[in-house]
Parts: sequence; structure tokens; C-alpha cells
Amino acid sequence: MILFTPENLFFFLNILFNSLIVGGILSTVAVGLTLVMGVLRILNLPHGEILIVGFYVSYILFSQFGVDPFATIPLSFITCLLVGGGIYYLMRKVSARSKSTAVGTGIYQILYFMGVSSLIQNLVVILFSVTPRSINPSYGLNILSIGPFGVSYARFACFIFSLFSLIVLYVIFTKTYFGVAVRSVIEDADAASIMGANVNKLVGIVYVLGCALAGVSGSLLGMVYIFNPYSGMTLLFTVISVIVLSGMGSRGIAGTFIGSFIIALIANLSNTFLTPGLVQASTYTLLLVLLILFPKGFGGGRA
Amino acid sequence: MNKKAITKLQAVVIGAIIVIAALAVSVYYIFTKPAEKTEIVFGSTCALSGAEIGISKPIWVGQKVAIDEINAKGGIYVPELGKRLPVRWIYYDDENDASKAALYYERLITVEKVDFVLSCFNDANLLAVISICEKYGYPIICTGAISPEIPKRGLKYAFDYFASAEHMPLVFIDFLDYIRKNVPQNIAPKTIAIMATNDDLKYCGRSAKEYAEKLGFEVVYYVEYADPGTDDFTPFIQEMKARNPDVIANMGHALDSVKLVRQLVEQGLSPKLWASSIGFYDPAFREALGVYANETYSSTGWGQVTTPTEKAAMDDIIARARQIYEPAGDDVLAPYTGVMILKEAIEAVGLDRDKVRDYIATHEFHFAWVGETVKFNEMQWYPVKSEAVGILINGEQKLVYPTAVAEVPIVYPMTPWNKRG
Amino acid sequence: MQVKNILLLFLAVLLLVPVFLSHAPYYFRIIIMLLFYIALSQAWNIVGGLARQPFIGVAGFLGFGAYMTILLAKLLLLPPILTMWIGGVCSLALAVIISPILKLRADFLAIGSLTIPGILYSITYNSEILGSCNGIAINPDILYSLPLFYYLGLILTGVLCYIFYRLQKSDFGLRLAAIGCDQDLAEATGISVFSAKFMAFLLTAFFTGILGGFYGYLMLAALPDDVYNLFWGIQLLLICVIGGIGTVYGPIIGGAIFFLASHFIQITFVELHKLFLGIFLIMVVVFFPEGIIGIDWKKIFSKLKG
Repeated sequence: MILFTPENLFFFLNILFNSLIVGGILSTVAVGLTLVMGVLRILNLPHGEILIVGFYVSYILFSQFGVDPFATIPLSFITCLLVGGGIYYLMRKVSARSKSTAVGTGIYQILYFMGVSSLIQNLVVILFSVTPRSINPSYGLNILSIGPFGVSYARFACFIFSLFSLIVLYVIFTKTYFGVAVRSVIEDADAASIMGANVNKLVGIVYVLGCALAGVSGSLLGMVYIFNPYSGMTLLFTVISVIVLSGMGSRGIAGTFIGSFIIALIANLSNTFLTPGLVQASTYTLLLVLLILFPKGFGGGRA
Repeated sequence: MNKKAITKLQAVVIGAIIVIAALAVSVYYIFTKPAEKTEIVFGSTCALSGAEIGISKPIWVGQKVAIDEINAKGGIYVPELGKRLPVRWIYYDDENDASKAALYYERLITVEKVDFVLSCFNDANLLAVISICEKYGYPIICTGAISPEIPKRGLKYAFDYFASAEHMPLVFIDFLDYIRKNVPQNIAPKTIAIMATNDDLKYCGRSAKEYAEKLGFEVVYYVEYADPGTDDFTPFIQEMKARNPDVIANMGHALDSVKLVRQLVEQGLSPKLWASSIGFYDPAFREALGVYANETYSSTGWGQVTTPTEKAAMDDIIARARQIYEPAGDDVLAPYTGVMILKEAIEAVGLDRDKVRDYIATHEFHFAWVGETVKFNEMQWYPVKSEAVGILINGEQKLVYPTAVAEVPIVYPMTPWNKRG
Repeated sequence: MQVKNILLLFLAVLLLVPVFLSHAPYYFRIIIMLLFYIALSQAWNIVGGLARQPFIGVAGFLGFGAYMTILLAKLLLLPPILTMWIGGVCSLALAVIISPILKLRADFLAIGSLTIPGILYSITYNSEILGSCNGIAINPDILYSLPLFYYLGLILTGVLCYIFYRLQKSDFGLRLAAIGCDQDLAEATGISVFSAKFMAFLLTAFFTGILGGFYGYLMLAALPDDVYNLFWGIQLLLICVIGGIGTVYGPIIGGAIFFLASHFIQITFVELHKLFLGIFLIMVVVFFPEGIIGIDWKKIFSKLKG
């Protein structure tokens, strides 16, 4: 393992390459969440469930009507936009009430989101049953060769999507007026509203956008994973590490991709050098250590 | 803080309510009389919600098929009453949670006062439930646990009739041996890689390794990986590529099997033979992989059928199960049989639970859909052995071994991944 | 004078419950579980209700306490009723080790706290001594009587309620409440924030560990999917909120409502109960964030009258 023979070198390079791809997949799961958490500082717990909703929309169109998965993306985008809107509307009521009683908003939001997650999960179960499903277009597993490495079209599509969206989001939130406005709103809500910004509306737009992106992620990831109505929570956990590692704010968006890569790499190295069964323990421990060292996330500096 | 302290009146009211409630409960228990028997009541739980429902629901389905069949014929004959009584089945959702399962079983036994209990699913749940059943003297035929823990507990009222993790891979290794002896030496399988999840399926993996080595195969790679938790199989695939195994056997669940296959395809590792224990059964596996699911092997043949009549009886049960729950397969046979064993015992000795228990422990059962005589050994265990190996061909499960029951020819070596689709 | 008599009557009824329920083990068990939930919520109430730190990874301490209790009972051949307390101490040690997590705020604390049961779960799964996926079990021949559990549960609940009550009124409690309201402001007024949070955290961990041992003893086993389940944290949070977060009677009332209501729903709506849970959660949070206590009964009564 230590000697750099051509075999070992290829071994490590292949791990790096696949960690990059898996990192891309993780980023895909994270895209919507990184937006909401990074910019709005809201831990969007139903993120996984919204992703699943997007997946099921695409699944139905693909399996019942034969629509190409990529063509279903606009519809899953819109569906999750609406779902996000509904969640946001009620959430406003939650924060309004809890603010008025001067109780920590964190706790109520957590509970509310758990309720939303449970509700979506069970509605999906009623509509689609619990049978695990996947989207399987004929070209899904065709291999794209990149040098000596291979990657399936499906995984590559996710990789490209996440890279692209993260870059676009980064540009929006650092370079455009809208993006800067939203960030200023988060920094200081009172000052921003004095300046004329409609706080609720801006936050709402970002939130539903995050949900809509989650839906698109779901459609794409359906070609890579198998989902059942309960997969949402698992997905959320997978990407929490990524979000925390990458940090908050605009740098967080940029950091998501790198964070995903690091998480994937750690998991792989853990599987190689430690008991494979402990991969979860190692990734969680890493997350915990990072949280303690960098309470505001990697990209955001220390507390 | 205490703006809304309880007033005296409220305290009196609350106290009175509690006292009256306590009295009412005691009165109920002292004065209720048993009614005349008009039905036999069975009770059980199952995971009716949650992610494990895919593998646990077939247990419930098997039980339902059996009970529907019994009731269609008028019920179970009770000798001491001289007539048939219909079966009423009370079931709850244990959400795959052992403490809930235990609590529900206690409820079923002490509140609903069921006559008999049926099995739930999952090793952990059953381990908790059999303690409850032992306490109250309710015989239970466990049709949902693969680990040897249950018979090892040595409880008097617990029986185990289910696939055993340790027995699962044996016929598959025999099958590999058969191939080894019947193909040209230059392509014969000699090396095996085994990947098992680190839950109860690891006993399956270990058993496979031990038996394979006993038969002279070389297990070049063996890993117990975390599930859930493993998304990227790259390190494992890399290791296997370096050692070039003839056979890759995955004792895992459908989701990780799918991920594994997809990554095997991407990284270009095509063994000469590929097996996936649960992937073979789960329709999601076939749906997700399309052509790449073909030529997947697995141990199967839980019905232990050897004759066409037996196979017909088995197929009939499975067909009825499919009407209730489409993805059902031969995993409904064990719970179905569990109910039928109970039925036969009741019809022989009546509703006395101890007599039923003794009957089940000592009697030899013969069923039309099971090829062997069913008799529980001294540990009250009847490990349902897999007696055949199956293959997925064009999305269907077909038997290939032993030759006596083979429906399609053996495919060896496997069509490489890059030559498909 | 009169209130005191009524309370004594109430106490007498509580002590005599086993007499009424000895022939109904199922209902008896439900009451014991109810006491367990109330005690557990009260323990969590210290760090989550008073200090408002959303440490929802409490399953880590629960599970660790359960496992240590059973493991020590098996290794040292001691009855679990003794090793339970050692289990509490073990959880305490664990809390000390992970105490740096208290530096985190709000959502990050919530996420970070969830990693604890995750790590312990993963380690347990890979450990043959701890029984891997099937957990460890206590020998069923030991002393096991429901009245024992009932009185033990009653004592634990009583002790925890008393501790919470005294804490609330103490200086320490005031400091915690200040931290819970606005941590930065509290720090600015000179309160040593970390040490206060630390003490509250240790208290919660200690009692949660003991209760974990109680739970393991009651179930005669500790199973990783059960004791390290992340849902514990959500449940306790919900109970405290329904009853009135940060109050001494919050867990009592919330526990009674939540536990009994969810049990009733599960028995009645076998297939759809999770759906109702989701709706229930949303309704509680949207319409009753202050819990039952927050409901303005006078207003409702006057509306009903006319």
C-alpha cells in the first residue's frame, strides 16, 4: 500500500476519481439544502422528502408515460416549487407565533419540519406504496470513459448538474443585486426592511428555489439510487456532513463541492484502511470534530 | 412563571377523575365474564410502515393468505366443541421496533386475550416477543428470523421455522462445485469473493466462506460492509480487481446490490459468475438494473419442492399472495406454513395452548407444498434450507440447479457487463 | 389545608396503583412507560427546556446507559437495578468527553448532537461483545416484577420533577433561563455561559443514562435500532413543547397527552397512524406553540358560552 507501484498508484487515483464522482452525487443531494442553509440559515429538515417528491414526479412520468427523465425535470422543479411554497407559508405562521411568545425559534421550527417530513412521507406512501423504485433509462448505465476511468452517464449527469448549479448559485449570490440583497437581509433583518427590502418575500423566494432545486436533484438521483418513501431522512443525514463542512454564506455554496469530495474520500479511505463496517462512525466523528473546531463551518471561519 | 397555577377546584377534579378511573379498571377486571366461544382469535404484529416493509410485509401476506384460505373453508375445526370456528386476526404495526412489538404482543395476550399468536418479522423483534410469549405460555412459531439466536435461547414455547443464515449459501457453493466439475478447467470457477452486510447476513457470509474453503475453493476476498452507510464500493472493487475472482457473491440488500452492480459496471469488473442473495428477490433490483440484472444467481428453492405437484401447490400459494401484494415471492411460504402448522395442531388437540405446544414439538408435518417432512429438532428449530439455485433471466426467476428441477440451462460464464445493453 | 389533603389522597392513589393493575399487565406496562417518558422528558427539560439548548441527540446517552447497564450486569454478575446507576455514571463520563459540543449554537448543536447516537450505533453494530445488530440481552431469570418498575419509575419521576422545580427557582436556574433567552446578552452580563451549560448538560446526561438503564432492564435487552434511534430526541422535544417547555409540569402533561394519544391512535388507526402524527405535529407547532398551558381556557369558555 505504501509503495508507489503503478498498481497502487492506479488504485489511489481510481479512489480519487470515484470520490470526485461520488462527491458530485453528494453535492447533487446537497444543492437545494446548501442554498437554504447557507443563505437563509434555515436547517431545512424536509429537504430529503422534497427531493423524494421530485423523484416520484419524474418516476411517474417516466414509467407511466415514457417521458425521458431529463425532460421531466421542469415538472419536478415546478412541483417542488409549489410544495416549498406551501411549507414556507405555514412556516411563517410558526415563526410569527413563536417570536411573539419570545421562545427560541429553533425548537419550533425543528418540530414543524419533522411534522412536514412525516406528512410528506406518509402521503407518498399512500399514493405510491412503499415499494422501492428507480428510474432506469436505457442509456443510464452507458459508460463514459475518461482516461482509464469509467463513469456511467447517470452519475456523470448528476456530477455536471451539481457543479453547474453550484457555480450559478455562487454567481447569483455574490454578483447580482438580488443575491446581495438576500444576504444583507439575513445579516440584519431590521436594517434591511428599513431600507425597503421585503424580507419575507426575499427569504421566501430563496426557500422555494431551494426546494425546487431539491426536486431536480431527486429526478436526477433517481437514476443513480433506488428510493422508497422513507429515503428522505437517510439522504438528509448523508449531506448534513457536507453542509456543515462547507459552511454558511456564499463561501458555503462554493465549499459544497469540495466538502462533498472530502466526505466521499474519507468514507473511501475508511473503507480501505479501517473495518469497513465503521464507515459511518468515522464520517460522523469527522463531522463532530469539524463542528467543534469550526462552529460556523469550514468556509466561514471560527466562531 | 406560575401564572396558571392549579386551583383547589381543579386539583379536586383531577384527583376524583383518577380515583374513579382506577376503580373502573378494577371493576372491569373483576366482574367481566367470558362469553361463549364463536371464533378463534389470532394476534400478531408486522412492520406495516417504515423502510423495512419490503421484506417484512411478505410475512404478513403469507399469514393473510393462510387465514383467508382457512376462513374460506369455514375456519378451524375445534375438537372439544365439535365444530369449525372462523379465525379473526388482530394485527398491529410494530414499525420494526422491538419494544413496540413486545408491548403489542403483551396487549394481544392480556387485553384482547387472543387464543394464539403468530410471528412478526425480524430477529430483534422476535427476540423480544418470544420472552413475552414464554411468560404467558403462548406457543409461537417464528417465521421471520434468520439468525441462530432464537433456537439458542432454548425457550419452551418458541419454535423457529425460517431460512437460516448459516444454511442459506450452502446449496450455492454446491452449485459452484457442480460447475467446477462440469466445465473446461481453464474457465472453471476456483476463486470466490464474498461481500456481506454486517447485520445478520454476515452469518451467511461466514458460513459461505467456511463451506467454500472446505470444498477447496479459494476465498480471495471477504468483506463485511456497513449497510446503510456504504455508497461507494470503489475500494472493494479495486481490491477485487487486483485479485480477479471468478465468482462474486453479494449477501446484501437490494439497494446496495444495485449500487454495487452499477459500480461494477462502471469500473469494468465482470466476474464469471455473480450472485446477489436479496437482489434476486427484490423486484426493485430488476427494475433498477434492467439488462444488468440478468444472469444474477441466488440460493432459492425455499419450498424444497422436488415434484411437479409440490411445485404446483407452492405456485398456487404464491399466486394468491401476489394478488394481495404484487412483489410477493416464495418468502410468503414460511409464514403460510407457520399458520398451517398451528391449524393442524389445533385440529388435533384443541385450543389448550400447552397441548398445542407439545403437539408442534413432537409431530411430523406433511404439507403438499413442502418437499420434506417438517419436524422441529430438539432445539425446536426447523431451518428451512434452500435447496436450489435460481437465476434471473429476462426479468424472471428460474431454477437452474439441481438438474432435476432445472427450468433453464446454467449460464456460465456470465455475459460481461460491457457486452450487454 | 384542603389542598394538602387532596394531594395526599392523590399520592395514596399513586402508591396503590399496582394493587389495581396487577391483573392487567398490559395497562400496567403502559403506566410504567408513561412514567418513563415523563421522567426522560423532565431530564431533557433541564438542558432543552431551561437552557433552551436543542440537544436532540439524547438517544446517545439513553442507549449508552442502557448498554453499559446490561453489559456490566452480565460481566460483573450484578443485578441491573444496581448497575443502572453505574450506567448513569458512564453516560456522565460520555457527556464530559463530548462537552465541547456545547460551544455550538442552535441548529448546529442539533445536528452535532445527532452524530453522537450515530457514532455509537455504528460502533455497536461492529462489536460482537455488544451483540452487533441483535443487541445484548439480560438473562430473563432475574428479578422482574412490574410493581418494582412502577415504584422505581415513580421515584425517578418524582426526584427529577423535584430537581427541576428547585433548579428553576435557584440562581443556577435563572442563569440557565437567561442563557436560554439570549446567550450573548447573558454572557455580556457576566454569566459564565459555558460552565452553566456544562452543568445542565451533565445533569441531563446522568439522569438520561440512568433512565437508559431502566429502559434496558424493562425491555430485558438493549437493541441498537431502538435505543440509538434518533426519534427519541424529537419525541422528548415534542412532549416538552406540548406540555409547556421549560416548566415543571410540561413533561408531565405533555407526556400524558402525547404518550396516551399516540398509543390510542396506533391501536385505532393501524395503517395510517404516522400520517396523523405528522398532522398532529404541524398543528401543535402552528397553533399551540406554548403548549396546553398556553391555551387561553377562559377565552375558549367565553366563546362557547356566547
